[in-house]
Amino acid sequence: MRLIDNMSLKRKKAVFGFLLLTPYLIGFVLFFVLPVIKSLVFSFNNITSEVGRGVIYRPVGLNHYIRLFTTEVAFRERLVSNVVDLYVNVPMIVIYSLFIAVVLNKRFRGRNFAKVIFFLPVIITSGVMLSMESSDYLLQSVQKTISEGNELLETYNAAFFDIKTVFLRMQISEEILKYLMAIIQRFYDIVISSGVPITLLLAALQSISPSVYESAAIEGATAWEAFWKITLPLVSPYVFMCAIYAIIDSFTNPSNKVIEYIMTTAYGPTLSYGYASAMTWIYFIVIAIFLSIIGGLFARSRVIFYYDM
Amino acid sequence: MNTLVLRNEARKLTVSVIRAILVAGICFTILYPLLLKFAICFKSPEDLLDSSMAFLSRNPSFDTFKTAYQMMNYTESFLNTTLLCALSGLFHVISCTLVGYSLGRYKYKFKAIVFGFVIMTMIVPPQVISIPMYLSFGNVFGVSLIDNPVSLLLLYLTGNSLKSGLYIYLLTQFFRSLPKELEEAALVDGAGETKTMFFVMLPNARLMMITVFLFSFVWQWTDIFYTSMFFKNYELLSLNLGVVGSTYQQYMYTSKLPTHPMLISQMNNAGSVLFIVPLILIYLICNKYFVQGIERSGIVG
Repeated sequence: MRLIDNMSLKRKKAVFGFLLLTPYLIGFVLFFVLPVIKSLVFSFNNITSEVGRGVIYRPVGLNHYIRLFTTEVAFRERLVSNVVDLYVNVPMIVIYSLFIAVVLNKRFRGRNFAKVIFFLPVIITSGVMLSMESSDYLLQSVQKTISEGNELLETYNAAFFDIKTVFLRMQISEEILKYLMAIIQRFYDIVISSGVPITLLLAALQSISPSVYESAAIEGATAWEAFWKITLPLVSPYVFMCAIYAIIDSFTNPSNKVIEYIMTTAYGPTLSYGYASAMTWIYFIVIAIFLSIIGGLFARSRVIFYYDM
Repeated sequence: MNTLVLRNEARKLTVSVIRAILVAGICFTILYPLLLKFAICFKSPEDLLDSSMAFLSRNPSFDTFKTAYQMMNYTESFLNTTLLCALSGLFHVISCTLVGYSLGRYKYKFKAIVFGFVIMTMIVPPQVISIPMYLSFGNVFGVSLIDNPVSLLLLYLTGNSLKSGLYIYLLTQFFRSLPKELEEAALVDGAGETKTMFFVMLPNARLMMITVFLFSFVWQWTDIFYTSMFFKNYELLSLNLGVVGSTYQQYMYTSKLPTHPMLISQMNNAGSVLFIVPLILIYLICNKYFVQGIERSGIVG
């Protein structure tokens, strides 16, 4: 006790604060650091688990990685399609969330109802529900008939109706068009993954003082100008946060194709733990690169106020 | 003057009409699969094959729900799941509040690093560590913690489980936003660190703690990653939902009844409806906490 009494208040506080962390740190080492290191070791070994003898390692060096980059096609294909998905989805999630947040920031009838509905996917389309929806036969078939119907319509009315030809005639390049079409196809995915970003951005918008807009209006700024000169710079740190959130959310999503493939490799009939570990490591490195690119982009652009974590 | 007023009114009307269409359309996009699920479940087998109706059915029946209820062993698995989720919520609140309070209110040497750890646990997909965890939990001092609730409770209590990083982050930001004067006033009045924490600071964080409890509850409810690892042999809703289709198929096969992919799919949908109804109820009742928790967490403003 005397030891504690002799400490200065500042030091006492520091010790108390650190003591609060101990359970977390123990758990962090046992359930995070050790498994991460183990999985790295696994990726250089062939792992078999036998009853009575525990886990048996057979070192193979870099073979798993070499196989993944040379002979294995399925994994690379999934990884690339996953990254392409992100390249379409993340910018759209951010833009869509910002747009919806701006719409919801104004008062109108039914606003609270809309807020409740927009956040609903966070609650119900998570975990097992996502995989149920993506694998369900009836839901898929109904949606398929709808989309097939649209295709039929397109072929019949191509001359009058087809958006694609209209855009092509407007001299919009094929690349942009493909991107736009991809967005239309993914609209549902984008909507259901925007629950948290919308809420965050809405809170950010509400924290901007109305007097800023008032004085801008007196100076003669239009609403359009006010959005670009006031709203966007002030919410930009949260836009960045939303981008990060969207990336993490989609990368760690259990219905994600890469993760599905890793899980079937690890727990499926082959039980290749070592090989699956190598996959998870490549996957993790890809995530890290993606996050740092986004971070770098945002840090470079001048609009961002540096946000102190 | 009159034309100006008129023009203004017209503009307002246009804006609100466009807004109404947009918001209603997006709401429909979100609700459509849900409505479709409900609609599919009320159909009798003949209605399922009748392509002239998408949402309505000629002879609505509750039979599908009854069968799904049996197939999922609903009563037992509902109770088990509720217990597990409540424990998850409670333990997460305890462990994450401790970490969040420490990171948000105290200054010490390695704080930034520990905060970095928290962020790292959010970024690394749990699948990366699932394989070694599965193998090492299989043999802890000769005892297998796989298929043993203790293992998941250990993860909750140390704040290293599903989405714990997010809860810690929310709580840290919240505690950081509380004014310093609160602590100082408590100190002047003679309260020690523990007293300040339990009687001054934590009561202020009630709302945030309820939010963490609810998120943890809901996400544990839908989780299959940890439950399929640690609770394979337990009756849990999320696990039973995942296999409701094949359970049904097996049941029909053993009782020598005809079956059809459509019926299995209908069973999947009925299972999903039974699975999410409790969640929807919780969400509608506690909506305030879910949304305000994120709004007021101090991340913003």
